[in-house]
Amino acid sequence: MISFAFTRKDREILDEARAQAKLAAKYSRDFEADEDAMPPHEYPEAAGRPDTRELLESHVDELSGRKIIHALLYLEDWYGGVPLREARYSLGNTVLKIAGDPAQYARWADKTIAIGLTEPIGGSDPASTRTSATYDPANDEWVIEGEKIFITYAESCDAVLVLARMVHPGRPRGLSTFMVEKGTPGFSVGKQIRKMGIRFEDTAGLSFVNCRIPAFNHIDGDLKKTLQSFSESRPVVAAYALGVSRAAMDFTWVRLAEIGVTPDYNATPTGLCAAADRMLALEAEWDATWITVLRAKWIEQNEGPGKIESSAAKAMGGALARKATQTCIEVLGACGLSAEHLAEKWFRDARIFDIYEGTGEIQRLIIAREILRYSPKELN
Amino acid sequence: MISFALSEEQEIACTAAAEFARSELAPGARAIDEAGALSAAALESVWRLGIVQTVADGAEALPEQPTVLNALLLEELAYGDAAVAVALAGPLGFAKAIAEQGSPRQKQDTLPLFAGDSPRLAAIAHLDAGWFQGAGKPTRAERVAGGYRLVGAKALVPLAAQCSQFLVLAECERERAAYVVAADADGVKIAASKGTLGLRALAMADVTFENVVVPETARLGEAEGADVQRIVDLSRVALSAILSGLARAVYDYALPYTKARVVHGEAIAKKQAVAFKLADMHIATQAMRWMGLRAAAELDVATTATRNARLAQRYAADQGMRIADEGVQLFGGHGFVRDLPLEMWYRHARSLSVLDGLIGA
Repeated sequence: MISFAFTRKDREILDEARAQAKLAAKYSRDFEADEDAMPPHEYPEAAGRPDTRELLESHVDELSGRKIIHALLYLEDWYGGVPLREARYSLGNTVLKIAGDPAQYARWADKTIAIGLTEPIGGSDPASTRTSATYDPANDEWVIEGEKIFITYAESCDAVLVLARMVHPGRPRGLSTFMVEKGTPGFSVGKQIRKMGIRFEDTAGLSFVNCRIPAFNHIDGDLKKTLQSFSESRPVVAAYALGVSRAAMDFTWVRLAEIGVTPDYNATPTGLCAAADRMLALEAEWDATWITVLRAKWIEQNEGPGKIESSAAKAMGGALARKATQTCIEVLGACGLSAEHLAEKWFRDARIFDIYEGTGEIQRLIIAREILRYSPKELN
Repeated sequence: MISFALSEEQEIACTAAAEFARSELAPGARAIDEAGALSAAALESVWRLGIVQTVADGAEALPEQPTVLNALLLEELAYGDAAVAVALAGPLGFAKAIAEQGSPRQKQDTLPLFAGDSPRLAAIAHLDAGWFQGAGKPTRAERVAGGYRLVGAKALVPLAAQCSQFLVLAECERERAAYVVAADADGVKIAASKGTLGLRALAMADVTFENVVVPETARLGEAEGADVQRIVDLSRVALSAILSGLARAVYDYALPYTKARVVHGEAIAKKQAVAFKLADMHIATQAMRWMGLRAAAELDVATTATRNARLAQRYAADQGMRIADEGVQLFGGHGFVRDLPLEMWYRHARSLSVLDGLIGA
């Protein structure tokens, strides 16, 4: 039976996450001036408050679905602007879980693992990867050579899972993933990248020069399965977009209420002022995105990741974040532009969601190939 | 507990309705649109599905999630022909309002008429919905000795000439109320149909209520009154379901064509400009469907779902129009000719997206 009602535990955890997001909001500008600063593992306000991600894990049976609520926790983080308590979990962790063997999983399960995919030549097309991993049989090691850019958690992570082209005498030259821990000779992290927004996010490039790692660090999973982890993270990025959009829309409604403009769900087109009409269009788009994210996560929870649904969520989230923050600023006017308020920051932050973890165009390409039953060769 | 799984009962009902829509409705959709009239045969066949009767027959146990089920069924019917789906959703909305909110006497007097084997038509007339009725025209209900006097008009009521009753929604002494009005009551004027852009089979016509006096017993719920907002919310769920079915029909029709149509030595589907349109159509058909079902599910557990029903309808109206528009475009000149359904769906989509408060789910 279809239902869109949260369980009591869902509600309790999400309410706590919203309360924490509101506490964190005051820190959300802290990284605007000092982009090199890293958010603390947790802010003082987190003291005495439950860790929502731990709550989630300890009440899995009382939830609508662990993956559903997990995604919505990110919505709440982004509603606040900066997490009150860092999640310490990145896409590399997901890949390790999917592709690593038990010994590898045990070794790195509690680490923050960034994913090293994008290269100067491009991020949307993994087949163009130039970073190489050459097997050295004499030492049973892999030698990594190459460069990665735009890597989230580059500085703060414990290790990076690097996508590289294998060079091995006994194996075809294919792509595979390799765990490179911090401190490995030949592995260095570049300076923090200067960005328009999401300045609290740690973003830098990586360089690998004669970087030697033991054979154990080769996460030799199926590449298709590795890329499947993107199907899990795409709706999560859409949840980020929902969080920032919601924050911008809530702020705009508060300001509109001060001049007597409130949402009227019964008004005819001629009965709404332009601002309210545009805001209601955004509300509709927000809800459409929300339900698509929920559906993608519900399918993942019950049947495994759905390629189309995950990309649909991401495509919608990216588009929503752009439109919502652009529209809100226009409706808000001067107080949208002023750095006295957060709207201008949300506008800058939100623009990334239609870019990272696959641009909107890449999501459409993925969906189109699936619905048309075309191979990447037939439709590119 | 969040769930996107239809119940087995819902799945079975959908499959049957989908099969019916494809085999019985879709093939006849063009003919009834050109004729500007719904054939008696089409009406009888859709009536035989028993959707209205299930709502009207008090003896039968209601299905689980009755609004969700009706929304699912209207979506499937609209996949075949949106006009027929609207035709059925008129009496459906009417009967449901009586069944849920009518007084015992109103139920007894009215519902059996809608529980039989032959089609019985009715519509909801929301007097203040639609600015096009003419500015300054009073649309209201007034208390008079022994009853109420209704003054106003409702533009473009589907199958108005065949309706036996209307459920008039109007404000009376600053309070919203609904009144059951017989089509042959004094002062009810049903204009001749002038034809419409789309949904032409519905022969939509303006209905005017010129000082129509109804007894106190005509007020829905009688002394208790009724929650008019619920009726309005249900109408929006019905519209979004119908738009969802229409949008899916356009998408399913367009996709294989783009793979078959070769331009410059290649299927047009292999060009991103076309493939991305299809991807966007796919994304929106799913989102609008689930938004509508969310509002429907809410109306099965709560009296109103005003926000969600309105947003679902608004999103479905915008996206339904966009999808039908792209459908025409993908077919080029073939989209514009009346041999294919694209231009008809385009007209239907715009028609559905400006109608409000005439039907129900």
